[in-house]
Amino acid sequence: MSGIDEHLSEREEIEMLLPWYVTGRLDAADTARVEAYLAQHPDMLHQLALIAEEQTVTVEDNEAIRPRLTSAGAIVARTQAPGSAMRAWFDGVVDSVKGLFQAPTPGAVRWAAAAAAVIICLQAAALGTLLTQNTGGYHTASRPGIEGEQAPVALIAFTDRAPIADIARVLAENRLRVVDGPLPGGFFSVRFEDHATGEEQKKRFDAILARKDLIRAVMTGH
Amino acid sequence: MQDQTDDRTLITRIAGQDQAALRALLGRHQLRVYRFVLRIVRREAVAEEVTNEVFLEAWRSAGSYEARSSVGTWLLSIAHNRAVSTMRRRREEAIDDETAGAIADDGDDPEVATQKLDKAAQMRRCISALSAEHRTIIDLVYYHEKSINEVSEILGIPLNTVKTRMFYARKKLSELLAAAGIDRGWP
Repeated sequence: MSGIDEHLSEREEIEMLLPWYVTGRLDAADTARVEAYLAQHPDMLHQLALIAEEQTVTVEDNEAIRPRLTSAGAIVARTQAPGSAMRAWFDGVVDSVKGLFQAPTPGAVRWAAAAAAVIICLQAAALGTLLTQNTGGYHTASRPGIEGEQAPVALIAFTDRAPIADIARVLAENRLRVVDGPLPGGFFSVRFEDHATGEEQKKRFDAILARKDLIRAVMTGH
Repeated sequence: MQDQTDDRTLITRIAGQDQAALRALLGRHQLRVYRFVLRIVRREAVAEEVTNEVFLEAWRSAGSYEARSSVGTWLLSIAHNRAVSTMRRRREEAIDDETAGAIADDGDDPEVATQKLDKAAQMRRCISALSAEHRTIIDLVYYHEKSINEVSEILGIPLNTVKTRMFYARKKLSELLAAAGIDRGWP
């Protein structure tokens, strides 16, 4: 229940709450307080009609605004300004990984995650097949109409004790960007930020896998 | 609740620099943010650019979103800050005063004014004549249907100020209507 000002009368306090009572955004305690007052003071019911009238006009006024909007594509293009991308990426990794480590993992959840991880492994194997078919090398997936850089190239899981800053650093060193996650099993989808060759990509994954203190698992097409 | 969950998922994906998620967020919130901003800055081109800046800031700061409020409230909070600072830069507050003065003058001849405009149109005109602060809170409560707590967060003002500001916005609206010849019997 909200207190307003001890110098205000009960009537004034109730009057102040009425707009939210009409829009249905008052908490339960204040709603009960308003209703009790209205039951005893029916003269105030007139206010509800005034407020409803004000709301109708306000909604109509807003809905009548003809949007002059920049296309989503143009705004997204502006996210690629120098400096913006790397900062957002780093913040994203830190936030995602922080959320993963802070999440409670009771036994049942662990088993569910393990089961999900098996599915993820199967998906990764299928992804790997797609990535390597017809070439024998490592390539990002691409097909007409879909930009190749949008496809994740691997799934990575981090160890429980990995410092967030170290994870961010090792991903940055290897030009990898998190594009989704956390997924079941604690995996993150990643893709390369540059156009590294298949051989270069393999080298980088090997380097990442060598960091046993940070990396729990990496699933690629290799 | 589902929408809120979906919105939060989008923000998590945006924090991971997922541009498709930003597109989805724009699809859901761009129009409402634009309308909110336009009602403050009153210039379409300015509102468009401020709206763009809101989503670019969301892109940059998605990692710091703490989910204490809904994504819609968070975006409106960013929008309000940006719109107000833009207004300050452009010194457009004076325009509000001029508009309010023009409305008060109309009230000199209430019978003529009433004949010219029906009640809803008069109210629309009087709402438009309110100060930016009063218009903004009326939009947040009536159109965006924000709670007292949410308005407090968006505007960065105490809960009690939210209630009193809304009260005085309504009171001023009634006074403007009365000046235009429409007596609502309140206050």
